[in-house]
Amino acid sequence: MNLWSDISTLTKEQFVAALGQLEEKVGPKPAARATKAKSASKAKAKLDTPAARIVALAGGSSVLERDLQRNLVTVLLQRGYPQDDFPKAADKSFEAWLEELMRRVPSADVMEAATSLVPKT
Amino acid sequence: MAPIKPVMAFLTMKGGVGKTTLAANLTRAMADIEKRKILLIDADAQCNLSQLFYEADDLDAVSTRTIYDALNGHKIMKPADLKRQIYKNSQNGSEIDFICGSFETFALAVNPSGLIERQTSERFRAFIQDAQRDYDIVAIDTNPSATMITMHALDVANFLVAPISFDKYSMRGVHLITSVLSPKYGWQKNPERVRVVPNRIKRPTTEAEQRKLFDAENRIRHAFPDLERSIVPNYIRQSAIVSNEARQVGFLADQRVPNREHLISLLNDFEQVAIDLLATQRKAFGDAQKDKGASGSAIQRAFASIFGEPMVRH
Repeated sequence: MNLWSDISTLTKEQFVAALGQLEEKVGPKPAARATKAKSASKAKAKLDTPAARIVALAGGSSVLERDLQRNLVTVLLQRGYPQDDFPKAADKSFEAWLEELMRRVPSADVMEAATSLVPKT
Repeated sequence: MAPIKPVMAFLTMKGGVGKTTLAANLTRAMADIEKRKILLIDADAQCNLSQLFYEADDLDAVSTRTIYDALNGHKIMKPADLKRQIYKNSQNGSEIDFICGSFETFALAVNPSGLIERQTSERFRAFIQDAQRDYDIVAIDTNPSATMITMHALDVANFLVAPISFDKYSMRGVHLITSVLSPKYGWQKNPERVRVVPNRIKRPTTEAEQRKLFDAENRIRHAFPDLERSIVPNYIRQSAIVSNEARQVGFLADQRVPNREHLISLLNDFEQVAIDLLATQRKAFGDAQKDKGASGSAIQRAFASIFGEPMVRH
């Protein structure tokens, strides 16, 4: 059997035998490529920064994030931080906003205020 | 009225938590972030901070002018008489001057008479008041025990930085300082005047380890609620670079190490904590008007400005 043979004329047994011969010519099938295990050290450090940990308090809910952000602003304003210390919230994620906030407002205060706003389970 | 300037005491009740390394490298990080003129004082009779900046042979040479001279010299000393510049940032103009420690301060602490104690206390207070005129920040590294000079440092300080590891004993030491001493030093009750810095924290490599670390932090917060607003959520990570074996003389930022990436990561840790310190000091020592909390219409205006929408009352 070659590339242009009419395989419709072959019986099933002849066809299987011909395939076996072809496999011998080609060689063994290469082993499936091992999937690259994600290196633990390269796994995204989801809680590595205070901002990421505060975002995690909202448990992935965008509604809770929105509420937490607004309540956090209210609490910090009541503690005497001036309006100018707060970055604008538009066009940035909650985490990015927190990173910017904590350059002006002490991170300890932001973290404590955020954890106090989330009900303890 | 002249603004009050921070006098930071680096203090722990438990040795070996990295207080001296923290004192040196946080002040450097602060100087690199914002223009500051800082006076760093080694008030520990063990002179660890002095040994961090000078080789043993050089230490003998610089020991002609030390903090001991400010406490017990025959002449009244001013900071300018004893300081040595150890850092200048040519980009932002920050400077760090250093006053060496002396083993002789130990002699003052052993069986001091009431007269010596009063005299050294008054001299140290006057010395630090002079320093506050010349510098934006005064930082004092102290001995981790209640020696006379440590108490003098607390007498003049108005800001406390205490490193901890995430264990209750470490935190209890800080709680002891603030609860036992706060009747005498009222400012210690103010969370804006105390900074508790998690130091030498093992770097997690998985999310599970990170969550465990965050849980450890939360347990500490819950166990010491009066210090919650003082605990800095940025950690200084454990690193072989700062081990005694590997340590080179000088600031970490100036070290020559094979693993530069590791050093940069550690310097970033110090930078994040320094950002918190600078922001806290702006609040604690800033304009009195800013300390008054916003209320009512001021909050609503701020809200509209920050979020671009009015505040919704529930």
